[in-house]
Amino acid sequence: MATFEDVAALSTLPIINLKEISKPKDGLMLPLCLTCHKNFNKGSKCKEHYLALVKLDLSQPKILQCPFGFASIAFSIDYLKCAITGFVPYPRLGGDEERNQNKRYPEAKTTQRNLYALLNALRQTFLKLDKLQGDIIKNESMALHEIRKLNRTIKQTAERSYDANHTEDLLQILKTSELMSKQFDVIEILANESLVQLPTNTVSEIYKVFDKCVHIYQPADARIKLSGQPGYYPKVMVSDKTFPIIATVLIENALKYSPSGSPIAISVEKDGDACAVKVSNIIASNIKLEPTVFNRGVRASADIDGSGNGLYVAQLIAKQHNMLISVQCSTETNGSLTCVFSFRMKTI
Amino acid sequence: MKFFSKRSIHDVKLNLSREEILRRSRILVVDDEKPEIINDLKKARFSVDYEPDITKDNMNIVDQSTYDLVLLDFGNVGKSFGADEGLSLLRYIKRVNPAIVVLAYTSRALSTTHADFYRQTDGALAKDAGIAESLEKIEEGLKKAHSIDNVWLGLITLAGIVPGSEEDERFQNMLVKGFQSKRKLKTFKQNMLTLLENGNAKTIGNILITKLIELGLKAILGI
Repeated sequence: MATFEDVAALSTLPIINLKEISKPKDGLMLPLCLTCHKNFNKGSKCKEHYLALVKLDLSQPKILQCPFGFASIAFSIDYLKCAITGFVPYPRLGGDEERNQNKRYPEAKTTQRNLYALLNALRQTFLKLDKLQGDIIKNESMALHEIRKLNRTIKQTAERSYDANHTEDLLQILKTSELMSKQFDVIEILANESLVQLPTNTVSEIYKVFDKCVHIYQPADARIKLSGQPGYYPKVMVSDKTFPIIATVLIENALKYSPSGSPIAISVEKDGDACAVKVSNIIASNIKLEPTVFNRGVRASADIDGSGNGLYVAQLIAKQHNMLISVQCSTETNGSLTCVFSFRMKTI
Repeated sequence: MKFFSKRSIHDVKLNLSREEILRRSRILVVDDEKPEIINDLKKARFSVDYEPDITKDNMNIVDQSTYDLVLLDFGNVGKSFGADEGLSLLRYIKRVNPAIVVLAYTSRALSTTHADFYRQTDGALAKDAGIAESLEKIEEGLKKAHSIDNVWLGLITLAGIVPGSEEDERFQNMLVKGFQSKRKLKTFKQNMLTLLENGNAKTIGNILITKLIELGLKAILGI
């Protein structure tokens, strides 16, 4: 999905996002003039001007003069509402302020014909960009869809065979296939981040979500210990398509970054009207866990395989559920370094 | 007595056993490629039908509201209801009977416009879900389909009543009181039916009212 920033990056004149009014961005050929900078910081007249633009019928762009003699033209592209601003139009709209600004900033003068040509170019580029992104999502999605169907065949065949014949090999195939599904879930969000805008309208038991995920990794890795409080089964509102990914990422990271054989503790505990989830494990001292680990593509260690996208996706999903995942590291008395990923979620 | 203090439909809780849910439920799978999970569902004693697509020719199976849960694919289905494939069909199903629980049965990373498919469904079942996971999700969906809250929401949506509005509360009060008296129940039914447009909406409305009364009486009186 193309954004305001994409449009702004291509505008030759200063531009403002009318959906979230803040200081206009410089144009490629014309930066925002000093007067505009000062006036925007100083008072509410600029904001009132932009708010007036929001109310216009944007299907037919119209040039509107600001109280300081500059002009703006508001327009919409799909779901975006923006305005080219900080210019002096020719033919002029009239007034002393406009005449003064024209003399002071001759570079801000632009013909109305050029203005409409710019709007048209921005609109066309945006639509092409949006279509291109849509095509990429569609193609990636189709590929993923087909791979998932193959994985389904493996998983369901293993499941049916395991029912008839409980062997360790079949169980391993089944668990591996389940792990692949979990990875596909993460890839799907990376391919289409708009999925984290889905509503959180499903009731889910948070302990159960983590328990299911732990079972996929066990018995292959028996060092994970999930604990809760007796009789405490917190329910939360989630998007059942995205929420389990948080458990996958945190458990997978704990396994990946902790020394083999060291314990991994997951706890689900009552914290007032919320439940607190903590995933803690030991990490090597050379692993850097700063808040930037939640940024896209940031890897905590160059020595360990990973795309650097897991925590980024987990944090996106956390925000979808009105919370944040945080990380804290502490040195234990025996000198080992422990990291704790935690979040707090309101229960229903 | 607790029975007489009940005024909100949401306080009338009913826990149907798994056996009862199985006995009452009918599932429809709409997918252009017949999924193998259908056999597993049948083995687990679910009543399942399969259609590769719903078109104008077989749309009566949706109109008759025979199904409690629909497992709906996105791609290559529902094209006769609009350009948005599965989303167009989903909109049709929910318009006919908002109480039908629909699970999105796709793993496509849908575009912004089509992401409504995930928003308007009651849940999602990934294309690579295992058998146990699929059965669990479907069972949860069926539980929802037979919950009083869901049937009520479906009925008032059909009648154009805004959830949480005064009218919603008034009708809830009328129905809960109606569980004590046949006469009050009849008044509730008559008043509700006047809100429903003629034709299919009235038929579906009748089905939902009957289901609500049955579930409500079962919850309160155990009958």
